Amino acid sequence: MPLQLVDPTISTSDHVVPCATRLQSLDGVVIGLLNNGKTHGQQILARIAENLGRKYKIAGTLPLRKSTVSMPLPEDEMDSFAEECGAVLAAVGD
Amino acid sequence: MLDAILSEKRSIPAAAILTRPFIPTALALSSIQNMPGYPFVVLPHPVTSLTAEEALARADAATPYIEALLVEGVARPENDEIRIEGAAETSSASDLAKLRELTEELAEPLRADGADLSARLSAPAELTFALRTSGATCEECVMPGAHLLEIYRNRTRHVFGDSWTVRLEDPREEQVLR
Repeated sequence: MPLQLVDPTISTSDHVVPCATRLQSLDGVVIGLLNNGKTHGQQILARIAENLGRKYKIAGTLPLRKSTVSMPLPEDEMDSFAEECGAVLAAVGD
Repeated sequence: MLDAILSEKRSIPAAAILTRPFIPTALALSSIQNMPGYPFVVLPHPVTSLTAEEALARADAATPYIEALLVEGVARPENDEIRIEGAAETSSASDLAKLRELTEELAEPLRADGADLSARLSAPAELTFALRTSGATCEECVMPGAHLLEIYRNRTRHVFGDSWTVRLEDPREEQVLR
């Protein structure tokens, strides 16, 4: 019986997804602070938002802590999070 | 990193912040997600063992980079310690793809000995390779840094052009080789 070799890697398509359009300003923007729950992660994100708030009239922040470190936010949670935010900061407190 | 990309795919600009050991993972993720060259801010590792004051100082230093990632027209500051990976002014998505391909090519023979190699665009037209020998079964079995640098310089200039500068961080050497 012949052996069948399987490539365990995944291939990507040639289609390049563009980034979101960058903002003209952070004025009036709610900044989502998405942290993975590791030490200092939330504090760092909050401080960055605080610093940005000194330069821009941001509309507020929306902190969110992920339930698991190693997995992305579930699709439905990301949908609702993105709906409420105008920009997102995602940090790893490793 | 993946969360930032998923946010971008929902048309919400994001800034991913990570620490140095996660650079290879971030580069692989951005490629798999069809966003090669997606920029991110790199903090020195580790963060968890910092004092609260030190962590906040990192946040302060990172803020201008975050702003530059989110807001159009804001230039990122020059800084050697905290940097945006994949966003060097002279780099394009195709350059970054070539960089990854070149790094993989050069790392492969090292991995046979348990060592590894990473690379970053450390300045316009300057590539810095970082050799890791901590996992090597025999550190001295890995080719001397000066020889590696010569190989890396030749290959880099073949791929990117003769004007490129190449540096090598070799943990066995006291200084960066150039």
